[in-house]
Amino acid sequence: MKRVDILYIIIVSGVLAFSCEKVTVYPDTASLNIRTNYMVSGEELITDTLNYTNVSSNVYSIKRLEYYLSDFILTKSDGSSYTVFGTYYFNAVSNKSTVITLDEIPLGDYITLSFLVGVPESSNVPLGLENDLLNTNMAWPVSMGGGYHFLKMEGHFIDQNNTRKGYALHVGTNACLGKVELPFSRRLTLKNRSAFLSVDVNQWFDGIVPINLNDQNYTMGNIPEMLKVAKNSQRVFTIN
Amino acid sequence: MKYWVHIVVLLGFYLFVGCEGDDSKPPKEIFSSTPYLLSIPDHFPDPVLPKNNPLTEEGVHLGRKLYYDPLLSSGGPNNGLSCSSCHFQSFSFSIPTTGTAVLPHINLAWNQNFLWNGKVGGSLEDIMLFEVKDFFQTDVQQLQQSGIYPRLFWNAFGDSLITQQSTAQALAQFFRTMISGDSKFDRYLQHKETLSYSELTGLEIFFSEKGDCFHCHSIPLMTDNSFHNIGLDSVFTNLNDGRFEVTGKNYDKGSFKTPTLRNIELTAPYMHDGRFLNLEDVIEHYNSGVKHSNSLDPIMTKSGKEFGLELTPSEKQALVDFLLTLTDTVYISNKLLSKPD
Repeated sequence: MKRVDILYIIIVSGVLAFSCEKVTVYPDTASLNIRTNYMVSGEELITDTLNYTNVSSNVYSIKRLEYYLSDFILTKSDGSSYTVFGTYYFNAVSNKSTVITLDEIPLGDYITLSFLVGVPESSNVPLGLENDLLNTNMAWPVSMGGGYHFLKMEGHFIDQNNTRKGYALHVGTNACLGKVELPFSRRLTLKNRSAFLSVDVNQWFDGIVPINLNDQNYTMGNIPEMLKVAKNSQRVFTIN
Repeated sequence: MKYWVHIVVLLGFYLFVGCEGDDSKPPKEIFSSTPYLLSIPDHFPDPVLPKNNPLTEEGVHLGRKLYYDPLLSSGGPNNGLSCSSCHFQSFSFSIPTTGTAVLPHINLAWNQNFLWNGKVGGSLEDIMLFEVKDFFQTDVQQLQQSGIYPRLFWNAFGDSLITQQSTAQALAQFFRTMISGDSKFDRYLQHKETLSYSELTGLEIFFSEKGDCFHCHSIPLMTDNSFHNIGLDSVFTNLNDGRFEVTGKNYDKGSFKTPTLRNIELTAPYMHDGRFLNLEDVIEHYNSGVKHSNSLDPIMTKSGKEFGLELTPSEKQALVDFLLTLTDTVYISNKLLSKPD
């Protein structure tokens, strides 16, 4: 083999060796993990104890609290946003600390997080959600509009006659879909991707339109009362 | 011939001789089972199917045989009984009796709580293990020494050594196939049948605030798999504590499992203690007989309904007529669930 040929082989081999150098690609999205914790006016929620008092002076307990949150939207300061479509089920009694994961969120600086309290209209139809036992038990009767309960909050309270009674705040139908927008100043990075969603249960009574259980202890089928609860949802959640 | 060629030939000969099968030992039986195709009604949610006990034809067959075999209880405190001794197919796998009412075996593939007070939670495998270990106290040696079961267990699980665990697994497989979803009401939901005026009136009461039955007896299983105090009593003892016996929580006093209303026509008497002999009595309880206590379910105390539903006689009859549409005659005559030949 001629010297020129050997030299040529050495040069080409060297070029190939350097061109095969590994290049690390960093992802430009991350998953955001959101964990719930339940409070009542600053205290951790303890179910089924007549511990709590709302602004209408109702002394009450929480026996059942189930709800859906849907379609999370993260918005940046430049106005751009990213939506994670989907409906998530929460149960404060059977699972006090639920973690949901919102996938493939573009990294960057966010200023707000918004979501729906309930099931979006497109899914709020019979069998609109995954046909499993949890969703089955949240079904809203077809004769009353169909779809799902957005919220079931039940418990006992002491009424104006000092009698122990029950209450059931059930919310459903598209007209009562709650919308929440929260300040969420967060730089989402590969390392910084967890958040806590605090749920102040008392705000479902107090929120924006105070609910007095002596006036109405059962909301299902009563649109004006369900709308009150839906509106109060705006004050229930905080995120950090 | 070169030296290395000799080596190769010798090695090849050695390998050929060494790999020859040993005809003196019989070949091992290879276990294989046939997947069982579970037929689930379209409008039902998916049941949870455990990966460690997949449904097979052989497993279901074995479970069905055990269900009807008194050998299950031989030597135990319930000697001579099998599951079928207290669960007749004609009564939707329940039985009219006094004392604690017998819960029907129907759609248990979707249950997560078993027995009136939910003493056993989890899967069908969990409740079957309870039945085998605690209720029947199954002596697996009796099954092992029978002429047939070792082979059936081999067919189902690839192991002829019978254990309480595998006995429970076989039963669980059979229970999973006990599915009822072909009542008149199911066919109405699928637009295959119409309901009468009275039945439709009853349906409206059931699925509205008027009757409010749907909150606990939700579609399509007609149970929410939860526990409720529906006001049967206002004073609680160890005879009617219900879920309190399991949780020890005062708010669970008097709470019992929501039974399915499917085939309710066939499963009298009603409530955990069988206190109501007919559906009319059940409806009258909700209409005017609810007893208040601190653990009464909040759903039972709606404003304006403090003294019950206050239905008219014709509305009560309509509700009964609707409940009768939940009877599935196919289920109670399905030969695949009957005693095997």
